[in-house]
Amino acid sequence: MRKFAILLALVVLAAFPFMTSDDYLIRLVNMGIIYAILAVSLNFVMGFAGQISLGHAGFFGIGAYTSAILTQAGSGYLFWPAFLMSGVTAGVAGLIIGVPALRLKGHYLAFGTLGFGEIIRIVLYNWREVTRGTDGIGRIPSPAAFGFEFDTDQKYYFLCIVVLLLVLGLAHRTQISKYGRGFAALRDAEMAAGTTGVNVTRLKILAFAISSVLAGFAGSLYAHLVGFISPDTFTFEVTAQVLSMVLIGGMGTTFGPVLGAAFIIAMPELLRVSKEYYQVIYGAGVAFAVLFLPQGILGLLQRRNAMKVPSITEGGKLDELSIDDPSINLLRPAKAVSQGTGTEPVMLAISGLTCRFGGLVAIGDLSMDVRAGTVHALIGPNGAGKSTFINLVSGVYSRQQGTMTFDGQLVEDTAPWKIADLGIARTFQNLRSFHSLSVMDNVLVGCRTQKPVNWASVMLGAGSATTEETSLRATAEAALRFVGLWRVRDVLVSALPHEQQRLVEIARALAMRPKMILLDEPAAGMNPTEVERLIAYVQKMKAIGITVLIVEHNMPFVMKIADSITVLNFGKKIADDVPEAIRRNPEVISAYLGKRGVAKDVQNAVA
Amino acid sequence: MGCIYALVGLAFVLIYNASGGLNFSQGEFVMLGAFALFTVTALHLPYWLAVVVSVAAVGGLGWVFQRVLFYPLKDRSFLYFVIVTIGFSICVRNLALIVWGPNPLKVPPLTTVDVVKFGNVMLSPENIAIVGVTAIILLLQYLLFFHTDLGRRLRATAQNSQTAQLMGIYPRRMIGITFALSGAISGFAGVLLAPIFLIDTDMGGAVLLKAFIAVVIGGFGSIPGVVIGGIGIGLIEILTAVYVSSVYKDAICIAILIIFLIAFPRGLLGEAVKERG
Repeated sequence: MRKFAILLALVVLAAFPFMTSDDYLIRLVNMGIIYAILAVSLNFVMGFAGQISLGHAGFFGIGAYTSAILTQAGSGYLFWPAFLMSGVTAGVAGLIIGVPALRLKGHYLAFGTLGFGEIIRIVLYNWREVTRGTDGIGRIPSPAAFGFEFDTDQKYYFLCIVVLLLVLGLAHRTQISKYGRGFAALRDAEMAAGTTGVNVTRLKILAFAISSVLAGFAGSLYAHLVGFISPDTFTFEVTAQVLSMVLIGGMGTTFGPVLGAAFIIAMPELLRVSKEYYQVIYGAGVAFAVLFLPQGILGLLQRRNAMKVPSITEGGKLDELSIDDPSINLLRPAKAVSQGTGTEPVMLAISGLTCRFGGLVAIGDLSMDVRAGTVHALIGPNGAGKSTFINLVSGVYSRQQGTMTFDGQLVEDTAPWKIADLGIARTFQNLRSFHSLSVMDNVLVGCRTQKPVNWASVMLGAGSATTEETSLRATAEAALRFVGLWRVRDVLVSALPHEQQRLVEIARALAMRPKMILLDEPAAGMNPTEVERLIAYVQKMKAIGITVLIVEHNMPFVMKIADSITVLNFGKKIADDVPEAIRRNPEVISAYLGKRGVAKDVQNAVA
Repeated sequence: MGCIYALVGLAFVLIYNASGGLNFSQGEFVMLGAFALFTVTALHLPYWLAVVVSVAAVGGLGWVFQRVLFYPLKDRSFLYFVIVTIGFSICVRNLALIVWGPNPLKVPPLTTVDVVKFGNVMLSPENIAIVGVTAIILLLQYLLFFHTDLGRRLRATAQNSQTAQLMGIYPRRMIGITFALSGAISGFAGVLLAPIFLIDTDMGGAVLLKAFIAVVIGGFGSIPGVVIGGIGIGLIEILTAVYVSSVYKDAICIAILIIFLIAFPRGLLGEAVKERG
């Protein structure tokens, strides 16, 4: 059915130019297609990666000028290399803007890219030797190939539509691949994406690069269609138009921007009836389309099926991965844990760790060891520096002082995804799931193979990419079964109850096949039954050889599972011992209950 | 000129602080202020009354703008609001084209005096008015925000509108007041500009870009910052035009914007409101 619909659409698209002889209409459609390409390209940055670019007219302009300058008054055969060059120059500009843009977020990025677009326009105006300033460049030839010339709008239409279909294919492939999941992770929760092993920097640059290359192609198509370009074409208004196409069509979807482009291009034509007022209605129309179509046109067309969240238990029994199941091996640490001397080698060694926020010393000269294969708990009153510690170890905060050795290897102060690659996974105290993704996709973000397949193979659908995807899915399935969430795999993660969202984060961390997992207050907000289940999972992690470091307030929970406990207070270590000894440690008691705390009360509290 | 940028930047920052929205149609409020003054003076009202009526009209428009266009979008990504304001600005600009026509218009000067002399420095009364009015608006602004109960409530709403709501503040009204205030200040900028320049429908865009730069230089959300930034950018513009070339004055302004974004993203005075998530 779906195949048939696609085929039908292709036939209609191919037949279209023969159905009309109205040149104006075909020119309009061609413009619409070029704008659609531009909108799809902007969607890579905005919809997929969640970044903002208000300089898109700049890339469009660079592409158009590159093509125009190279082919001007020349043969139509020059079009093909010029077309590719347009992509290259725009792509280089995209890198130039993308790399500094990594430091900017939100509104700043909006202004930075806006400034970039303006600069390109000013350069086009004033670099007269090359761009001829306001005179513009004319006599741009029509493309030609094998003696065939794309010299009419009818013929040009086919060129445009092929490029559009290729670009859409690229967008679709990106969205359903691991790159699409990475982009979504970056968009939804950048910090969690980093600690889950997503190379945030590389993905942002990739988004800017793809987007600017495609915009450059669109520019080249535009130049050869119109045959004359001048700087007036590439103003902020183009950016605004393309932006509204993306928003009105449906941000983050593959086909939305195309619908948005159709809407924006067609609307003024339908309004031509009142010549004077059409710009007024156009402006108002854009505003109202955004106001009344919150999900975009695509959202309006898609019926939202009410999703029923299945129960995770079947007849009161959880569908869980037992420790004897062979597929549990998929979750054992990916890289062999090095065998140190002694029975329990040190997995994580911290020494002299210090962290200051302004004048406040959050962690002062802390040294501690976590032994391999144990469950180690980190406890302390609120404000003791526990979360700061986790953030430092996982690379979310940069380490100012102190050394960290992980599995016998000295770890530099580096980006979170590099630390994740070493084999340290974590969960967050406040939920940071990738809320626009399904449970399965959330976990898949964590999955990674030993030798990741590169971007080109994924886009071309090479065999290696398919094999990789299959193996990633197997790991994700094991991780979901591990915490008993396999039955809800297709549900949107934000539809799950609190406990299950926490478990999704744990599964996501497990899917990274870490050597060590950091759990930041995993039991917070859970009821006693749920805590019991959590205890079982932690013991199962220990059983498959994962070292667990757990930060927690729930003392009965900690006492039950921890092999050893470190107590922090005001950023200092006050005790480091086995649970029984901690229970009787007077300093720990006074930290929790104040100096007058009665030891007996504590005994009752922790029992 | 710097003072005008500062005023428009201030109007822009007010909305940003109160709601996190970037208003790309702020320039159109300036344009409308100028045109309103033109229309009202044509009615032979006393000049001061004309000013009051124009400013009030644009302020009122700011309130309506908030009710119709901002409020429905307040919980969505700021991008949607950006597009709505761009749509609004296209709409208003063309409406103005229909009402007032494409030819630049001239508003009668403030006084019949041509120049005022201070020793051997000559200033036009309009320029003195701009500096004076900017200073007065800033002073009033400061008094309103830091020495009245309404100001405290406005600031509370800006920091955390949900908590403000729990404390019995009506955020909707607060945001409405802010938009009206912002509209009025932009309108005033237009009124001040009108006598020194010819007014046309495209004047808003040029002013807005410079106001953006002023906002970034000063530090997003910082009110003293935007004043310094505005005056700074006005000076840079004039100095470039005099010593380098007026062709490149826009390019240099934007280059400064980009340098600031990359090297000092927090601006001169730092960000007053933390980045919203």
